[in-house]
Amino acid sequence: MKLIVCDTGPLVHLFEANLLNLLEAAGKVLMPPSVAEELEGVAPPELKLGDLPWLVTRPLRQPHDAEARDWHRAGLLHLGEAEALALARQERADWFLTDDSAARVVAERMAVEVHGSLGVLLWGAATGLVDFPEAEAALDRLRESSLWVSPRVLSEARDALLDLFT
Amino acid sequence: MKTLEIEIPDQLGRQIEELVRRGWFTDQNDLARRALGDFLRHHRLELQEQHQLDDIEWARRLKEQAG
Repeated sequence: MKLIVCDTGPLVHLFEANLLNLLEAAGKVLMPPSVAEELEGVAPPELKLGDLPWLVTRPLRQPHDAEARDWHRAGLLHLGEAEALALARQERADWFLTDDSAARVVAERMAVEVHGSLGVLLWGAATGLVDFPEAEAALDRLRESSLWVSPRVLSEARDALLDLFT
Repeated sequence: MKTLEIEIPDQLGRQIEELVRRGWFTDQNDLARRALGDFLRHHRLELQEQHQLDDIEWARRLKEQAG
């Protein structure tokens, strides 16, 4: 079981692609208060946090609260991404999940293991949580979600699925 | 002014209608113009693509490690 910290993007994208079950299967998922607030504002009305007992809001403590505010004030990261990355450091999370490229760059510089929505789907395929037909269908749903996926990535992901299941 | 006609998923359409209904945008055209402008200004496409390709390689490594 993984300890995962997630910002708003993957929660919305995986919900849109009907893949939140993969997060639940992966482990315990934490989010900071600002992400919970963002979800209230931007998530589809069908995404109800009360229906997701495995998704827990966890407050930041010092010094991580201060570092999140610094990243945000300096314009490096939006508040949700900043708090989520700081929470990942505070909790020593196994994974930090974000689809924000700036947050991912900062996380990688801090040696925090970081992945995105596509990574979660492919992790599910690589570990046998989803079979090939479901993975292919899920990739199509992810492409149709609000996540931006380039044609090159889509092609490479399809090739990877073929390799993962042979 | 150029006119675009696009198809979007029903769910995204409902979200757009809701944001306009709440008064954040004057109409759906206003939202679409601002969203496209914001996307083009701020989206780091090459970086985001590279990160997704990194995740693809990560999954391949996981599979190899699992034997």
